[in-house]
Amino acid sequence: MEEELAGSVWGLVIGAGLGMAATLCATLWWSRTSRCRERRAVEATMQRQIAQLEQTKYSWEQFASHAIPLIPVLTRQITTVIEQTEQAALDLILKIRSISERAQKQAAYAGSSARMMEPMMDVRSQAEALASDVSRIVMAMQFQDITKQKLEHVAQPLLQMKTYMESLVANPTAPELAKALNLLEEVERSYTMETERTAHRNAMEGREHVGVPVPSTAEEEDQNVTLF
Amino acid sequence: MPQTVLVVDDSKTMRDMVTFTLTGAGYQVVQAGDGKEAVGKLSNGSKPALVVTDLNMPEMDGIALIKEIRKMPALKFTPILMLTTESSDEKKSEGKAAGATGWIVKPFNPEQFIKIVKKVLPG
Repeated sequence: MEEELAGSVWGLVIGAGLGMAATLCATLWWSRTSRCRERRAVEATMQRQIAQLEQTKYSWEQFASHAIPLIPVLTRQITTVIEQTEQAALDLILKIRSISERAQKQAAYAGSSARMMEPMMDVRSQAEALASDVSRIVMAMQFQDITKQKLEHVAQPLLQMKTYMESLVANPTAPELAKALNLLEEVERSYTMETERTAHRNAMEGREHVGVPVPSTAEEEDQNVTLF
Repeated sequence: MPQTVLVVDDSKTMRDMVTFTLTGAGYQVVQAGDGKEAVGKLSNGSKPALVVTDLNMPEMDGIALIKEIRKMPALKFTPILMLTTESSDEKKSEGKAAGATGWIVKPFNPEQFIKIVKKVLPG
């Protein structure tokens, strides 16, 4: 009886031990398989991300390879416009000087004439009117200089962008590239004219472009003068 | 003897337009392409009755030029007019502090410009 009982107990102990061992093996197997699945999933995600990064890098390189040579072309076009308008303005000054001198001579002749006849007075009033027109032309011609400055303010950040992109393509991990390229702020700081600042604000806020009127009355022109 | 005006601007078209306006009113004009060139001319003994200068120029800007001029005893009280596209009050204050006599925002009206020149010129 005692022997039978001892045999049953041992049987139970051995059975339980075997069961536990089987459970442990199954758990280990499951755990290993699960880790393998997780690792495969992580590897797949990483491969997808690497592929995306490579695609992004390729796209940026494509963009840079087109943008970098485009920028000097655009800035050269701007410079050419500046040079051509400058030459045109200088030619106009010469012509206006000649017209103005003739108008002054006519006015002086009419004024000094002993025979102050009506036709002479007419010549003088015409000469005065011409002098006034010349004055308005000189004012309008200054827009060459104003346009030049505005275009220079556009060309400058374009060249900065070119330099930045060149560095980015040559060495994307260069520490100096980590700092922010605050071109918008730099452009805004470079403005000297209220019209530039207004155009910038409107563009940033997505507003329609509104033309800026040129001062045409004496009162508007007075606002441009400050005596300290 | 006509009075001499020193016109300082890096834009040749602007220098020529200011010169055209001033010579038409009987003034003599000396030109300089930037502040440094202007200081060079003034250091060589040139003593203009008036200086008309742009603000933004290479080498030496208009504010720096005014400061240099005010250091020269002979030109301490010479009127200086800024003629610039810059219209901000901040820059105007800077110009005033440096010693500018007046501030004209481009584009200038030649008739109005001559009136101002006559107003600031002594005699």
